[in-house]
Amino acid sequence: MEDNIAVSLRRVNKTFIIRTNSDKTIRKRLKKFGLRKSSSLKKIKALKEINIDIYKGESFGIIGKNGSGKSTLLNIIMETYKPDPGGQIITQGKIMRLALGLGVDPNLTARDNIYVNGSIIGLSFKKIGELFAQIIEFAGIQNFVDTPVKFYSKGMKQRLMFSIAMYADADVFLLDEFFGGTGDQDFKKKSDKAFQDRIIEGKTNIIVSHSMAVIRNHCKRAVLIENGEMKKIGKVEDVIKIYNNESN
Amino acid sequence: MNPFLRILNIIPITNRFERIWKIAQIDFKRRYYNDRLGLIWALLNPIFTVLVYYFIFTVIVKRVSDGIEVNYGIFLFSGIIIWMAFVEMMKKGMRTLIQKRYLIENIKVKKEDLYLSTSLSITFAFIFNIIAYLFMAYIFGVTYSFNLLYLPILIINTFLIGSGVGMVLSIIFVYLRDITHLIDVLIMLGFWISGIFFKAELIKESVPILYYLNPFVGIIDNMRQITLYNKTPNLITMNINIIIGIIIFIIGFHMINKYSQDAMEKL
Repeated sequence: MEDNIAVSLRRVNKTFIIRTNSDKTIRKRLKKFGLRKSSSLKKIKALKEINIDIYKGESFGIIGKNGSGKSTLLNIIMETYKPDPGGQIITQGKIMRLALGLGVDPNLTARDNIYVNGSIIGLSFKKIGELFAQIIEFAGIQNFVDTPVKFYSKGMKQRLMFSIAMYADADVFLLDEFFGGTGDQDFKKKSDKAFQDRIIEGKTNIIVSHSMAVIRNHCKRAVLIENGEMKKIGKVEDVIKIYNNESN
Repeated sequence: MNPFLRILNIIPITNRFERIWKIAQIDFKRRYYNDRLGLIWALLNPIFTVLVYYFIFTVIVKRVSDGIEVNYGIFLFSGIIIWMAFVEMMKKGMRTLIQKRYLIENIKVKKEDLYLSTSLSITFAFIFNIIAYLFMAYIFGVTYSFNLLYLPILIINTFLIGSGVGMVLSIIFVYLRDITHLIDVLIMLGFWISGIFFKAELIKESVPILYYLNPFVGIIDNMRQITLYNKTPNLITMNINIIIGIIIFIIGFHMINKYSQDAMEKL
């Protein structure tokens, strides 16, 4: 792989095999023992022949309708899911997925969540300790550091997650509908700028959004995914044009 | 990479060890510090269990506790804390993929780290219980010697088996949810055939194969040898048990490396 590529997908297919009457219990399996043929398998091709190279430092958009395979693609990049045999994914650097409301354990305090997230992304405790005050201050939750996150308001939760991401220092961010509506006016102003400076600039971003404005603002290249296939990849304007035409 | 080499990867590379340690610490805090009594619960649970069986076996069914030279309550306690630590490692390990899903889906993380920290957090409480146990035994007149140095081996052995079984079950659990019922039965079975209530010799005489193949017979027996009787442990069972522990751990490790992605899809 070339040095300037951050994420490379080659011939990635993903087939979900779903048993229509899913036998998730021993009882059901025993009952059907010997009648194997009757359990009907359903194959769903969620992704077909995906080939994408995403370069270091670029912001790359992924657009498509609901159910087109965007989330599956993200899960494959995160290596939460395995592609079908033959597919190849190579990623360089640390990857972090940002989706508001995900990534924090509601039963832990903000302090613990910051440490868990930070250490998994690869920061040493010393480093987290140094950044800790800044993270808390940025999120504006100084008085609730040792309160379990489940007692937080929705806005506070979002600000915490955002703040962790800002300082987490991953190389590649997967932004899963992460834009817009974060906190109140003040925080929004502050976060938009911080977001631009700390996350977008100089990092590799893969942006998934239904908002064409967001994609247009941040990305130069994008891919349109439809029914698991790459419909169009290339300059962001061209891709959006096709997407809009199809919607109408 | 073959499983043996992968295991070597676990050897603490500072950051990684730090991470496992910290998640374990946070897990531990979460378990015990949200309640007012905190860590005391980790101790009260086995103590209550001991009281129940102590009452039954010294008052109602006296024959079981006959012929045991030391205080029967302490005798029970040594077995019960080991067994409870194992059961908890197994049960918590089984739910690791579900409980740590919020991390697995958002940050690329070596999943084995999550299992190791779960088991480690239980080991903290386990060690706390062992210290309380040693203290109580001392009050009842037990004397200690350098034989106590074998204690870490028993703790590590419990850790290997508990986390290994937990890893295996966490994969199976995704496909067969109601395995939990079966496991409850097996836990009960294990509780009665691991020599918690009586001496290991009884098992050796009646069902020798159980004596050698159920690692907890040996672990609990050796625990008593080095703490209650101040003797060297039975090195045959100790070695067998460590080998069994390592094998189970490797199987578990291999299984999550091979199947955890598939399991995540079905979760």
